[in-house]
Amino acid sequence: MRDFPNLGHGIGLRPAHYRSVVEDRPAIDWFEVISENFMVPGGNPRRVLRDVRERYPVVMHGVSMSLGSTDPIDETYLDALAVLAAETEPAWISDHVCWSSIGGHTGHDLWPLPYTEEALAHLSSRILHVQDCLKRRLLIENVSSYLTYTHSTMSEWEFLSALAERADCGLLLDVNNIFVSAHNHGFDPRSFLAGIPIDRVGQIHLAGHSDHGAHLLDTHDRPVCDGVWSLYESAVARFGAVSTLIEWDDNLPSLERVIEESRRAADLQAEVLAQTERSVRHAG
Amino acid sequence: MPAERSSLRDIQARFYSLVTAPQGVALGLVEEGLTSKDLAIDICGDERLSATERLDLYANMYFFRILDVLRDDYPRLRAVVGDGEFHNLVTDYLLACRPASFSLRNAGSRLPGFLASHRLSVHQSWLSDLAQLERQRIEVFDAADSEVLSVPDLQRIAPGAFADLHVQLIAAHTTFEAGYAVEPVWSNGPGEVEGPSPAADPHTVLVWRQDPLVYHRRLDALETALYPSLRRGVAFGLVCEQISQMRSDRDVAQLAFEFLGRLVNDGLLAVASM
Repeated sequence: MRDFPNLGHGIGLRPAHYRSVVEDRPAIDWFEVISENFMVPGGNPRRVLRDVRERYPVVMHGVSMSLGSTDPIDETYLDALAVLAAETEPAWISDHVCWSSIGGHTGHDLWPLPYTEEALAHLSSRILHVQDCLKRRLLIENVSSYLTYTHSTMSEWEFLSALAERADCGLLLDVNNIFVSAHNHGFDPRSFLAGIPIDRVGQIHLAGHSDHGAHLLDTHDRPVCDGVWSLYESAVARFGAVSTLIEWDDNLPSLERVIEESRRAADLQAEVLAQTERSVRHAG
Repeated sequence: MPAERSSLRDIQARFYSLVTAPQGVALGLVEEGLTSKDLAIDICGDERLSATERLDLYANMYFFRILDVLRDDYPRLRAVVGDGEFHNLVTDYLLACRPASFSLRNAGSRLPGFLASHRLSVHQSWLSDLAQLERQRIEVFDAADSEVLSVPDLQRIAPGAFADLHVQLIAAHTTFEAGYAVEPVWSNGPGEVEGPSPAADPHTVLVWRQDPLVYHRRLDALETALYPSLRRGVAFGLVCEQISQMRSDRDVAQLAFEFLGRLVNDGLLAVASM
């Protein structure tokens, strides 16, 4: 989508790396920040964000918009997000296909929705409202999930495709989340990729997860595993050169190690794109 | 669960109720007079994990995510009460004070007040003050910025113009009333929990940010008396007048300039006050 240019390969900006990023100016294409971490009046977080923004493209990734909740949209949150966006001028703003609050209380988690017409109509109307308030299109991310609802009448990818169409939003495809959910619910992750409209994907997330035998957990606490790298190759083959980000939150290693992971993604993307080009030439 | 499938609103209300049940989803179902079969009307289970077990994954993540944040927010309180009691405290706290803010930063904001009436405070009534100190340091850490008045700024003021200098505290400060001298417990750090309990000692604690660090200290009698004026902003000449009314034993001008110097050295005055 033209609203979401290819920024290259980025990483999440995390507090443990603030000093290294500000002082060393690492060679990285762009940073993603967790919006809520910077929705504060002032102090070091805002200062670091201003500094980083002067030197790198930044995108804002939210975890608390609770787009799928049946509570009213938190307009205070939206106002604060708009203020931060006006100051930061991010390349785009993203959040999740999930709900996290009900009855005025919040769970600080990304809880899954049933894939029903009711949820689709509810979610798409709220995304349209938020896009109207923020005066920009959003990228909406698929979450890792550990349960599904008997109510669902469509697959997750059918739901996402319909959502993108109805809300006229972009999709942030989290390849690790696809891998985790595919394992937890027994679907083919490549069917997921094949069901997503190519022109809606504006960003890709990659991350590590933990294996608990009966289920996988989206923990962001380790390197990307081979299975997710392989799925990323398939994603690049289908969606082309899309901005790609490494998420690493717990057991956070050095900044250099996270950048190394990002470079691996860049190399892999370049390899797949070159292969695709060769194939096209041969076919021609 | 009702026999028919629920609306989105009903699903979310039930999900939240069970995920936040204090002893897990299975006991939460019992408390609501439901069975795992009722849950299976809405949530899929399979041979690997039942619907209850799947929902329990979310219950664990809910509790431990917030516990982790509160452990980071209150390291000294946790060290004093121990990991087990801290875990129990957070369990009780989340039942009484369910998170309502979009930001995890605020999940523990009501813990000091809650702790004041918790059973842990029966024999250690100073715990709430310690928690309040840890909390206010968080609040000040990312409070609004001010341009801070510096010593060179003061040096540029003509001697005759000091009386008109408008002095006002920076935005990134707060105060609270402590009943006990908990500052030494804080200074010991989370690794040193041994030592006598703090003595009863009612006083006002000032917490402020001198970028990027956060500091705290008790206000002395003079600062306590002048604090309301300094908070809203006041001409330095009026500060001198107030000091003269309180302290006739010393040279008022000298005392007032020492007072001003200390505030400036601590980075407590805003430049907008000039």
